[in-house]
Amino acid sequence: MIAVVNYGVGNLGSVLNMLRRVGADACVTQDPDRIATADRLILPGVGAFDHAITRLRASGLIPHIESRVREHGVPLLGICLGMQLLTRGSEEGSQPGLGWIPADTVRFRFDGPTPPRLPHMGWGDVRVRRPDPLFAGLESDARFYFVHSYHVRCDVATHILAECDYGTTFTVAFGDGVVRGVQFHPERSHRFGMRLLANFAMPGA
Amino acid sequence: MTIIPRVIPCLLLDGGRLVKTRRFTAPRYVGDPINTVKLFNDKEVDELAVLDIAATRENRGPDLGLIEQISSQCFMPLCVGGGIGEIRQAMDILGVGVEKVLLNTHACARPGLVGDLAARVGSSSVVVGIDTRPARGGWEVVVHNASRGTGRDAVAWAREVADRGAGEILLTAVHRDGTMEGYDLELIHAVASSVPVPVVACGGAGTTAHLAQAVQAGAAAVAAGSMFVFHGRHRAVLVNVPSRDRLIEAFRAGAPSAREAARHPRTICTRCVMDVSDPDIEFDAAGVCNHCRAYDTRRARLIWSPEERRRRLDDLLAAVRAAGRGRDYDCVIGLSGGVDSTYGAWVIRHELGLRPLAVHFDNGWDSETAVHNIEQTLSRLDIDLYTHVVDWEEFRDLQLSFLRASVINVEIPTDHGIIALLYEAAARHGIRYILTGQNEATESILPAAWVYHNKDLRHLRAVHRRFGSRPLRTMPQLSLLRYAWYTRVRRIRSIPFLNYVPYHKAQAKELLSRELGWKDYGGKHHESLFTAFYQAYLLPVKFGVDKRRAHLASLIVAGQLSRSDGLAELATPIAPPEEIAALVEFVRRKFGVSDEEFRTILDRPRVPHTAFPNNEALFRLLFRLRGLV
Repeated sequence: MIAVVNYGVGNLGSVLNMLRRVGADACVTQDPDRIATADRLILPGVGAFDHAITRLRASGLIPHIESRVREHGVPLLGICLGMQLLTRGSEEGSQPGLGWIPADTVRFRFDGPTPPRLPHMGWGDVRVRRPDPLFAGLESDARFYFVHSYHVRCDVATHILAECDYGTTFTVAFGDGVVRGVQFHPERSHRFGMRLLANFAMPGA
Repeated sequence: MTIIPRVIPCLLLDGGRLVKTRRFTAPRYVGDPINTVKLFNDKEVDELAVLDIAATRENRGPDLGLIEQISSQCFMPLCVGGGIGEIRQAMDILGVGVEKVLLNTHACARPGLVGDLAARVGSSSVVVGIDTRPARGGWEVVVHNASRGTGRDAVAWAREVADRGAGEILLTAVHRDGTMEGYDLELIHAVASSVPVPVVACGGAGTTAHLAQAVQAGAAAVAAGSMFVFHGRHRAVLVNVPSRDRLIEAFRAGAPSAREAARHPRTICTRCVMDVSDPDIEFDAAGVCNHCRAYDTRRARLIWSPEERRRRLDDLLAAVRAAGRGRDYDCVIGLSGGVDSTYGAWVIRHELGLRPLAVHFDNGWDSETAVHNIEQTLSRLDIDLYTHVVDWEEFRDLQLSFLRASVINVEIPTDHGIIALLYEAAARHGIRYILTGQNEATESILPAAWVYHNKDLRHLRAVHRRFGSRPLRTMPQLSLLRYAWYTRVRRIRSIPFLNYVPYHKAQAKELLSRELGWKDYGGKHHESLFTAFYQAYLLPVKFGVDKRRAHLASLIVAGQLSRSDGLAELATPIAPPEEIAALVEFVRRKFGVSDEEFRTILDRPRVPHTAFPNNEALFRLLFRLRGLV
């Protein structure tokens, strides 16, 4: 069972819709018991960083998620803002993040006279930097849908799984141990996102 | 793979039915929303906008049940609008899995709604729809399906909603809606240049060229209705979306990609038309590129005054005639059926009275036009022909090797074969001069990144060894050693002959048609179907290169074409999409590979020539020592 963590922020319907489409057994939940029995966790998120991390803390779910991930090695996937919450914090807000991946969330900075517009809204070609089961079959051809103005910056280069260009090259996926995060929206990225979520849900399938 | 602007079908709901309007009136039924949305999903469109045009009119909120059903069919971003006047309604819509909500009439009535909603759900989920039409030297915002004016100026309103937190603006030109005559580009430019957020252009799209124009005018994304639901002259209802390749081509023709534009402040030379599709291009302070400057430097050495040219031609003719004395032929010429080689043949035979032996390398790709041109030229000018037909299975294996290698210059097998054959023919018949159609007047500019030394036999063999399977038996090959023997011992010289005579391409074509019944085949070097495939499809789609750019730039620096005419030609497609599709299919069938395998080969990431064993360094050294290899 994949538990999509419901803490009041995020596009839960579309994530669930896509997971079911790939044949995964999934539910949207805020119930600690379901999280305690899930064998995969997804942390979605859209909107403002402070608002989301505050809601997540208020939900009381963080210790349950952390215990599953750290003690039981249950894979966790953060999507979009959910990925950013896994970093130490964001330039968008003042609240600290979870800090499970040594990385910061920063605003896009461009040099040059004609900087691209923000938010970065649209499809981007994603290049896999490090082989990872999450990107199996997506190594040479992967387009994903992005909506964001901030992106993560990893301390450790080997945590960077994939990159994309938008005025500058930035990290779009990271991973360390069982924790993964993606900046784009796999749930809205056609067969590319379908493949990625299937890889997460049923690795090796 | 390339980043291209989002292309967004925009669907209108009217009482649970999909309709399409013309200038916001006369809704015509186009189908069931769920199935249509599914079709667009299956076609993998970038994004979808669904607007309920009846909600505000009927003074009701959005139909949440229908929206949820639509959302469940969407595996791409979805924007929903129509009748949204409360935060709660917007939250409900986002709750069923929709990415963005669009505010329009209600935002005009209560502008505070934009900011309130953005604060709750984030700017990127808030789109403001602005419907507008021309008024008093600008554009007036209209509401209630354009049935009421507001007195607001569209540009000022766009600025206000962006300030209030709209993440995106869907800008619709009411006066163009459903016309398929093209977007209101002035409107797009006026709004897009005034706001920092993405502007999605809507209203008037009928062709992919229209989409590209909107992007050039400043739109971050393009939306269209009629174009994607109507087909043909009779506006038959048929969901259709241009393929990604066609879109890439359309946006390419229009402008360099956003990524390139972001990296290079200047993207195109101010003198010729070379641009950042040459990765090595450099511009000086005046915006003039390195190709133009190199041409200026070479000009003194290679482009001669009429007197100088005459003198050099006389010297050359004397030498060629002397070498040919007592033999059957004075010189060897290549003959492809194209304009350069045919014009060379005409001048050499008809005007100068030399006795050339024409050599043709038949690689199995000659077009009917090429064969016709060669036949006409030979018979009318009474020239002997030496043809080498390379074994097709073998040449196929070699060409497929280069395609599989994913290097840019897949013409190396052909070009190498021609050069090797010219020397072979010269040596066999005791001829000392090869007069080629290469020339500075029309071929001076060609970026190194777009080609690779076609004389490098080591490279050719390495690529073939890696990806090929048949031994090379009938393929002419020119090793460096053999080349040294031809040029040093046999003292065979290759002369870019067209530099010795005045050469104006347009005039040459005219003369050849008149005198030899020569037929134009369209693009440069399209005398071969493989070359046509290469230049019209593989180069632009896989490598982002429009080779016409270099040809046109050459003509421009040579004073044979104006820059604006060059730009105008570049704005037209290389070939009609149907023709390109047919060409790709022909090439695939001729190679005898499956659709899937061909697609895999073409989609493979690009690889530099230097990734395979080569004599690049040696060639560079020889080039420096001798000036030319």
